[in-house]
Amino acid sequence: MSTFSSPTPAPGGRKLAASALKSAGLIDRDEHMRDVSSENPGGRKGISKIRSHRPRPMDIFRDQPGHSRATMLASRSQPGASIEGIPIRGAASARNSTVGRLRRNVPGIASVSAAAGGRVATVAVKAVDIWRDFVKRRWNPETRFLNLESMSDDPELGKHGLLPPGVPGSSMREASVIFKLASQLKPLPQTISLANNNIGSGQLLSTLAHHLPKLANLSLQNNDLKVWRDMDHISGRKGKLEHLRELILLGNPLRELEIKNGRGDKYKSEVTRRFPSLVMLDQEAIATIAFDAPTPSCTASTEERPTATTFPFEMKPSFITGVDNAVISNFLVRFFPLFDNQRATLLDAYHPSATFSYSVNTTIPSRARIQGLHSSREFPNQRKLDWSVWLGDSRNLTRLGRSDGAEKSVNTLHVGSEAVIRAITSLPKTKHDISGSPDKFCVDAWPIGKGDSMKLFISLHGQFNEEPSQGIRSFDRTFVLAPAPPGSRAKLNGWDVVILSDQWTVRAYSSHEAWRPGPMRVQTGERLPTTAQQPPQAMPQQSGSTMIVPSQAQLEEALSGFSEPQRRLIVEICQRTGLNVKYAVDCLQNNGWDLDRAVANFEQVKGVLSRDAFL
Amino acid sequence: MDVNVIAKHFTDFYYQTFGNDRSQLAALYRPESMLTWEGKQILGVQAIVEKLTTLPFTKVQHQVVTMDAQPSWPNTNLIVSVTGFLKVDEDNPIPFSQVFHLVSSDNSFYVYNDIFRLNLG
Repeated sequence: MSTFSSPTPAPGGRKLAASALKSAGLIDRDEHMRDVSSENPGGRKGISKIRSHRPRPMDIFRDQPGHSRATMLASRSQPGASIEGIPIRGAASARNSTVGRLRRNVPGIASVSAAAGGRVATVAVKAVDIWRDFVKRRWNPETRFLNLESMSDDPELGKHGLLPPGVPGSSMREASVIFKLASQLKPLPQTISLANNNIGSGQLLSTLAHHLPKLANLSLQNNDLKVWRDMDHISGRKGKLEHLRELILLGNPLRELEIKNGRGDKYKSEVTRRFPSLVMLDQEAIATIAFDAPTPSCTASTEERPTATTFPFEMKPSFITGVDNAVISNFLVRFFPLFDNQRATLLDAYHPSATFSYSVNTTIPSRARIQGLHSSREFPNQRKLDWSVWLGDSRNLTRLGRSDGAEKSVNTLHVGSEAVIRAITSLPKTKHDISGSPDKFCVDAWPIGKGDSMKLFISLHGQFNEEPSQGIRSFDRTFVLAPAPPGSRAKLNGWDVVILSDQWTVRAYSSHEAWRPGPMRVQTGERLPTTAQQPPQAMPQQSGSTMIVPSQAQLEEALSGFSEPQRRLIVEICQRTGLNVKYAVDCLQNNGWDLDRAVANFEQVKGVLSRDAFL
Repeated sequence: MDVNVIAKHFTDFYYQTFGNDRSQLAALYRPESMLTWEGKQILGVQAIVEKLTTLPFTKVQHQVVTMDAQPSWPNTNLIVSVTGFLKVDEDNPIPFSQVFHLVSSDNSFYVYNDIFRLNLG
């Protein structure tokens, strides 16, 4: 055990992820890129090569190394390359695939498309319109369900000679167009069924997570997926459906062979390992022990599989074990809106002798300070925040020895639901965005105690906006919950659980990036050049985050080779983007040291940058 | 029982021992104790001590910034929340948060749950 353990180590994954900027053409090619091209041995530049790629914006860079962002934009504006709000991805499809297909399959249009580039554009738009009509026809906004089943039987597609995914001759570009169009639906699709499409390659799905990252339910029933590698396109590091709750793989050789050979358990664990958020697989619930189960696991769960619920927490180290996710989810989803808007009504949710206290940590966390989160233009409201409203009641027992300590420590522990409500209603109004980005919360939960005395322990980390300034604060909060007894005030008011303990630490904002999951790095092998000269030290990191807190001296050292105007630009980029010095320099160099271009470039590629790129 | 005093004594002792000789922390855990370290659960004295003593640093010091404690259910339990900095070897301090769930037994307390996270950025 030489590292802080992380439940989701992905050996080698970091290396792959690290190449995002490289892939973006900002810096030189690396192994990963060779890996990618090797999927297509002998691939030349041009259509055949592009086809083998995921059509990400960065692929444009990759195929044309050294191109500036301006070039990339230019390529977007070519005739036929931009299709009504479908940027680059749809464009590639239309230009390289759909049009060609139209040419081949519809003689009437073929003569048109053979004409000048402008005419081609017209045809391309038409093809996309056909896809768009198709997607709309298959869309049910009420249930947020996009039915993409049996696409080869669709008469309209057939009439126009379009080849849907799974049909011989179709490529991932058709799939990409469909997913892109799906991502433009309002509201966003929650459920997609791709059943009965004879899909034999997971690569067809490789853009799904990019376009619909929050997809909750996916059916791939009755397709021809055979190997686990196929699933990596929707569960790998670059295209992961992190919010997937339900997956159906029935009728695929991948599943059927495992089941037939008595390896059902292995199959299940392979799937749940890839999709930790999964609740339902092949129409069966993935087993969890209910909160009120007669044989509680106590805290001694041997299962470390992280799971997720409808409450948005997906940081991998989050885990809920030995307890029905829904219990926690229901509680949190109900608690926080009331806490934000109608605190007094929470009287029902607290046990008559519940305890509540909070403490305030006003220290600005080191990385947040380096990133300038508290003074940056991106967070203008941070400066309006004022700790004084919190300090009066803050219970910090490290100050116990001081003259006012003992008295304060008594007064700041609120016992009994009415006292709790009095205390929480006197605190600043908050807004916890629990329906927003799931990355912003992190939940650990498990049962404690046994039998009748069983309780539920929840440790929650997250952030909230404080009224009236709208500045952001981070927090840690610990709850101890008990099942609400029948006939109790909580139960009668619809709470399944009642709060026994509520302990809250409010602290200066630090980005939720801090707990992004991933392998733990102990500074071996991948040291940044700026620190490589120093003797190796074991620097523990929070799993998944680059917990590198460069000192001022290290920063100075990294900047020493640059002129003063350049240094200012580098620091500015670091502050505005959170990139580390190395990547900030790459970004600037590849954008002619133009600040605005560099930031814009960053905005384009930030979604695919690895954590290595950041402070 | 004054939970505040107990919590203060406990955390002072815990972090001091952690800095001096982590293996001595064994005395604070029981077979049913669970350490949750960055989302990974480690059960039992032996496994916990092994985890703590094999952490990849030699010198470690906790600087506690906030500490709060509440009595919990049953009445002999304590929930203690700590935030602060972890200073490892000669590196810069790293913020951490830690929650202890203490249970009393035979007039002393042991750690039933210990939840540690380096998540403060």
